[in-house]
Amino acid sequence: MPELLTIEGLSATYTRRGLSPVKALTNVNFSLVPNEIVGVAGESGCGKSTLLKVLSGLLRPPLKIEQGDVALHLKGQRIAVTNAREMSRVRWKNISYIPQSSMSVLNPVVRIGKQFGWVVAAHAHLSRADTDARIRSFVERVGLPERVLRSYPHQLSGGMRQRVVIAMATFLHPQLVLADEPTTGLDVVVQRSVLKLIRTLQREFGMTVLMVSHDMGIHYQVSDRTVVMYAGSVAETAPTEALFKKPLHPYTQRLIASLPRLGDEEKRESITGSPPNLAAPPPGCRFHPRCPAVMEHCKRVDPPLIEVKPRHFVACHLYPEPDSAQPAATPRARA
Amino acid sequence: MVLRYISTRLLSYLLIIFIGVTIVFFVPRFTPVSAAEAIISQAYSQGSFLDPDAAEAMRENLLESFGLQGTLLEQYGGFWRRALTGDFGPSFSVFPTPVSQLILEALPWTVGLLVVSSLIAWVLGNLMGLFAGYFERGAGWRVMEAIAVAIYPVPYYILGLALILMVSYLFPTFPIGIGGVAIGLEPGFSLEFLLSALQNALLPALSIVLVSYGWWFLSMKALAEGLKREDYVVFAETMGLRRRTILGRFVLRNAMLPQVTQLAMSLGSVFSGALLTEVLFAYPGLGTLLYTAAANGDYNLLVGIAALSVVAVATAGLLLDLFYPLLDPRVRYA
Repeated sequence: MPELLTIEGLSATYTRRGLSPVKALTNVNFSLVPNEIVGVAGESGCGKSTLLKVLSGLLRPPLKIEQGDVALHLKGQRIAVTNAREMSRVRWKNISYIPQSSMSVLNPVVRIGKQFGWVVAAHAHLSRADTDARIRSFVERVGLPERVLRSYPHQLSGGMRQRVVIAMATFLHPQLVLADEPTTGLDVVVQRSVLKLIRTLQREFGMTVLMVSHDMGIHYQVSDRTVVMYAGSVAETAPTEALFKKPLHPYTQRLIASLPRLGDEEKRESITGSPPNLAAPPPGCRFHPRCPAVMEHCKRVDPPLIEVKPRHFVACHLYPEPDSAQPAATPRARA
Repeated sequence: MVLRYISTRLLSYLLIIFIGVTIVFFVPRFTPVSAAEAIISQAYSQGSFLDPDAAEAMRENLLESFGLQGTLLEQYGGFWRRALTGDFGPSFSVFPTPVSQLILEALPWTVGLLVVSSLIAWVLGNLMGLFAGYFERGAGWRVMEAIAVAIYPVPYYILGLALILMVSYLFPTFPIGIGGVAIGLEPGFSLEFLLSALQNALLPALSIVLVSYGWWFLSMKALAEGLKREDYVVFAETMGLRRRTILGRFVLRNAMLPQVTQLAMSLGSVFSGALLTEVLFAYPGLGTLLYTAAANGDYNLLVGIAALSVVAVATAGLLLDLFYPLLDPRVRYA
């Protein structure tokens, strides 16, 4: 299947004069194909949000791409995310974004309907009446009463506001939606319905959703594929079911083991230690100081990401390359 | 709900006026300056001889005609009875012209000058500040900021004097007007009168615009810079909304809230006149009148002007309260 987004050898840093650069992303490789939900998981500071910033093409200093290539592939056209002009042409129409907190992303002194209208007017050439009618029906489709359009943001609940934002992000049927912790700050019941909504819209429009969340439970529920990141690199990526059934990377194993299970009263194990300082990351495998299966080799050599099973990639020395003479395969999703 | 919101505001409006005017009535009467004594001592200093009995009789006479006889409370009661009909008694310094007539004559000059120049400064300062705050990196806007920062802290009396010096002596581009219009012109709606009024008002207006422009510019710039980093402005940019929409409906619209409040307050305070401006430019407004009243112990005139100012500021506050919910929907009708 043709790829929608490719990330090849991406390294990005936060650079401030007088401080050593923070290597937020190091040699990240993966790609997205149309019509899938891909989850990006990992602890705080693992590079999830930086990755989204790079993908959205809204790079601002101090964030800088050091190496690598990130490109969208739309209708046979290749658009590098660093090309600001091209990106502004496709923004929202082809690639949109659901922010982390919808609490404060809506203009507090303007009615929702009006704000929604501006979003549509900026990207589509529709008559006023046509826009209004379509917005009304779309708002109902995402499970909101029509009166929401006449309300101000402060008059809505957190869940309703998040639905409004999701509606704004999907109204133009973009091929790719970047979602940054879209359920943070919502209670679990609302969280579930919001995730269900994202999933429904994704299936209906055949969109691709890249969903960043620290919550492995969310990925288990909605993601087709999950990318586990650690300290700025991809540790493991696999179809979600395979990943949860048989995680390979010791870090993924710990992450999954720390999830609570119904009826299981055993105490959950957490991962000891804390993520490394990305201004001065440890040599070799970045997880080795916290790894229970650490070997001498791990302290010196950074393991490459290799495909150990079909569509299952892992960066760990426990899984030797099938043929060490061959260079590591570039991980590509083959759906 | 709306009705309750309005009635609470109205009630506090009336209360504020009552308390304000009461304070304004009593404070001048506690000052050591007395209009009657001022006139008597003036007579002495001019060399005329008054025997003590005659002086006493004169004092009685003056106090009677000034309405200053009786206890303070009696005077206070009488004051309210007359004030409610708009009568603040005769002026002492321009006896027996009624205070209300003096105020009415001075009012158009002050209000015309101050309202127009405040509005110009407000619009200019806010617009420039908005752009300077939003396009922080533009070199042109930095220059604008440097100008505002340079003007803003200059004390008004120095700025005013510097302006007079520059425009009238160093580069004599136009004459300083004395008074509101050229001497000898009869007030009326003739073209000559209006042009003369405009010419005489230009310099004082410019001085006021310069001084308040700096403040509006700097405060708006700070607001715009802050708003630019608000989640909803960043998200609007992420959504690729039109720049005009972002600037006007997101940044300006939200920055307007504190600026409108301050404008209302400054327009309310217009009615006490601009003391320094008017004295400096010999302008016949309320400020000059207030200065005369204070210097001569003219209680009635002082109270009249101050009461007008109290009512004006309270009214500005009331109007603001009533219209603010239209500007900011988050204000609750409670």
